[in-house]
Amino acid sequence: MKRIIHSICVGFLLMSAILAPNTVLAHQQKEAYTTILVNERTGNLEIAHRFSIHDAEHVLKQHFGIKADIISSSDTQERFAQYVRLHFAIKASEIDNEMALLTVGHEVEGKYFWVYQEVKLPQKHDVLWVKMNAFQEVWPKQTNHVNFEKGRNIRSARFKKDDEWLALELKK
Amino acid sequence: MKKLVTAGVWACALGLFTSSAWSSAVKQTKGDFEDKFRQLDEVLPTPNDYRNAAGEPGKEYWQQQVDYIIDAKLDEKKRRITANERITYHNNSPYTLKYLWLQLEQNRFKPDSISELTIDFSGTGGRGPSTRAMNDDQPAGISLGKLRRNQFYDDNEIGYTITNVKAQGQDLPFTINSAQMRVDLLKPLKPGETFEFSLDFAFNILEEDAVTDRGGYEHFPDDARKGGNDIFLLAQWFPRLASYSDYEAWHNKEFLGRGEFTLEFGNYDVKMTVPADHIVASTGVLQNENDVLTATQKQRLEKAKNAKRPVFIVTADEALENEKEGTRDTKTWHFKAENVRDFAWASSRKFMWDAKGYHQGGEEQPFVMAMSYYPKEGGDLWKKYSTEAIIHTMDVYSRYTFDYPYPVSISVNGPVGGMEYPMITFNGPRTTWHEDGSRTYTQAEKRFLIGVVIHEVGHNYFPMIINSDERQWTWMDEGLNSFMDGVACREWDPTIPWGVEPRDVTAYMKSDVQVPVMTQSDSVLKLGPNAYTKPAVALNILREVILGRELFDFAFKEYAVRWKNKRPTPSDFFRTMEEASGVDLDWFWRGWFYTTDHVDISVDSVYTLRLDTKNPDIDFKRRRQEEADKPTSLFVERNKEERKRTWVELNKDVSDFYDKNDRFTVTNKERNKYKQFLADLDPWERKAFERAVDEDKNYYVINFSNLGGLVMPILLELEFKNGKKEEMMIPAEIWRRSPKKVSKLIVTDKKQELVSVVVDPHWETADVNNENNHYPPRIIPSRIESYKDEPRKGPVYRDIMHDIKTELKDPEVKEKRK
Ligand SMILES: [Zn+2]
Repeated sequence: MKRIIHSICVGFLLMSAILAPNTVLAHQQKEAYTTILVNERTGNLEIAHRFSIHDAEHVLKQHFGIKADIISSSDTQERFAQYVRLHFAIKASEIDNEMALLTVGHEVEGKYFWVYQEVKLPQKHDVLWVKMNAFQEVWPKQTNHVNFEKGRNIRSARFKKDDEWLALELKK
Repeated sequence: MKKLVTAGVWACALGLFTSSAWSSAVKQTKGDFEDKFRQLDEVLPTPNDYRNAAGEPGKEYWQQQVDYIIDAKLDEKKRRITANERITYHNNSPYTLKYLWLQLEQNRFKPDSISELTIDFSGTGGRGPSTRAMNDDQPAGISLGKLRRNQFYDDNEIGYTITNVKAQGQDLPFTINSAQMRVDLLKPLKPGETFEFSLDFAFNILEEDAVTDRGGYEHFPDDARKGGNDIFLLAQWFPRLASYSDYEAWHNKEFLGRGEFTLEFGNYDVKMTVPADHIVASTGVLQNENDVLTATQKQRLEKAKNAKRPVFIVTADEALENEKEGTRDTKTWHFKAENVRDFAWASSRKFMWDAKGYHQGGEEQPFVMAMSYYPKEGGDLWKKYSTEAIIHTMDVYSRYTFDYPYPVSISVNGPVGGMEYPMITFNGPRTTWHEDGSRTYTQAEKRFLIGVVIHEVGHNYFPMIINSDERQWTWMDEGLNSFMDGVACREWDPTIPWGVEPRDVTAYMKSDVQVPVMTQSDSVLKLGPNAYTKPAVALNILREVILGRELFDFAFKEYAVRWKNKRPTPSDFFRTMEEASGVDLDWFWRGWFYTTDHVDISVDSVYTLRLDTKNPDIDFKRRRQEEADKPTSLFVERNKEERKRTWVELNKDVSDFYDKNDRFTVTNKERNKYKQFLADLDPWERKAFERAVDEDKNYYVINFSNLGGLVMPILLELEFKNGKKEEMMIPAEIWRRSPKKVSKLIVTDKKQELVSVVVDPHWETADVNNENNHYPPRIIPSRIESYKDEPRKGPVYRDIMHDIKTELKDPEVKEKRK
């Protein structure tokens, strides 16, 4: 800290905080993970969203009203799938239309709630345009992490509130 | 200085990326060998007399002490604190100080603070409400939350008013630079000297829901009392001395709202004057029970000391009655706390209050009073679990560290989701209100409350007692504490899925958007997985896989005990864990804390080998069999299918020696050679050779690749033809000379024929890709494929407490016709 190189870096770190200010409480921050998997075996683009159950419950409470319960009511499950559909989208390019994703299902696993979607693998799929803003209208601090995976080739994006479409391009 | 920074900084930033200013002095300049086991010596600071090479406080270790006497008044109507503060600064350092730095965290919210000035309009906007920059589709946007925040700023004066900064009746010169203040001493403060000064301060308490801080007030407009009620959480609420340490001198890196803080230990004597019907929860021990508690309350506290379950000091009914009206009278609560690094408190007329004694035993603090304070909104959820969770935390953490050293341990329900201070924590989970007036909570909320209380109470150990600096290294308290809360939660109820599992962090670790754990808090791209999950997973793996519990727990405890009430840095942790476990862990710290590598070890191939006997009568026969076992040529196969007859078959009368003796025929030439070979062996060689031939073991060479970069032990499950399975661990050091590819020879008894190999069969190492962990290769269905195969019915995350009130209904009968 007191050596020259370090004190310069402190200046740099302060500035980088300008680029990516972020926030956290003394307990862990809210975030969701989405995997978009190129599955050449099945010929599908498979999408698996992972939410913390506790977070999902709170969002549903605020979004659908206090009686919403994602597990016990199949009605709410439908609405949750719809909620995810509305907040997640992919398209092949900036000018293309959003792909019509099929809802595969959802399940509880430990502390996570998973939602699955899929779509037939487009012929060209090296680049995907992705949008993921689930939970963010309720929690501005929510981060949605998206991994676009084809084997070991992985590209990622972290969606902050008000991020619109982000392009993910697999390494050539 | 802060203002001069801008111009030079970008040049520096660019320089950092183009030249490798951070790379080490020792370089591999030919070939691509990477020494993953390179010792950390040149990375860690040079040991000295203040902190030594073992990771222990050195023989000249010192730290400052700061004592506070504060007399504060809470003006409920104005939501304002006014106070007088007397500070005694003990200069235990070997250096003479000409000035003191104070932290003024309430000024962080002032419009001219770095924190406020650096909120990126389209970014996440610091803590709290958000904005949206203009893009092609949409005009620039501003959320209602941001508007509320701005309006709050318009309507309220933010930050401290500081007056009367005096020492011995004389004014002290001081300079305020946003959230920090420098007080110039009248004469230099020499080593060993003490300096007393005082000041008056006041500030308007922020509305937590509008501004999102680590404290503030929460308003309850629906309460029966006209105008509603508030809960006040007071934290970072007084001007405090910045730390001054051997490794950073003044810790005057300004608070930007994320990396929390470190402070000096000291003694606190605090009086708070609040509305007479308020209940105050605070760091420290209440000094004037007789002035502020009723006889009944005192009796109940006495009863709570030995109660099996929490005893109400203020019951739900009493709290409900209390919150119906207010008073103009005030009462002064007086608390004292010894040797703590901070002081926080809460005040409200809404609080119910329960307590239960914890007989910890031991010499230092045999008795601790665990207490919870919460409004009706916390309700039954809190009554059952908050205080019990506090005690459970102390019980578990103390076993892995040291006895809980304070006389009280408190959990308060207010507007803050979760925050820790010495002896007192703020925790957010609540019940859900229903239109029929009842309150219930889901199983997830129950787990969340227990988890948060354990986590925040756990912070007493890290960093309130083991005083690491979150401003610089968030992982040192959040990572260690997340690891420990996982231990404590699993001891609460192992069927509840909490704590961190290696698999929880793989999606993050394989991604290309991350920074090393060893990154200053304000610069971490993603604090959650970086400072909490990844280090917690790393420690879990260190304990369960690499060191084993015995070595790990001993070393971890040693770290805790060494740094109890002292100030450790990352190198002290790394060095202690290594020194006390007696295991070289530099590769582990390097991989998990200094890089963004991930774990992906694949098993590429397995070769079977058999020891030659050298005896031609045996070996040639084997070769012949091996040849026969090879598939025949497709060409020949097809000819056979076409029933083509060969020349040899059609002309059996023509044959010679070679038709009767194939190329594996043994002659005496080979036999003589074999005999000579045996004769030339030394006796010990012959003995070893004969035994090996006799045992005829199986030799397998397994080839592995390290695709993720992070070196880790290879955990193997070997399955044999007879159905038996065997597990083995190859230490990480196998990668030391070849970090990308290694081969391992495995020798088994003749009968143990290997049929398959699995790497990391129990998912213990955070290996991000299971597909390449099997030999023979196996297709691992994707998540969605396996979901489709067998849709799993999830366990319950239902609000059963609410649903159980559902009235039984006759089914709707729908008419059905053919
Ligand atoms: Zn924490």
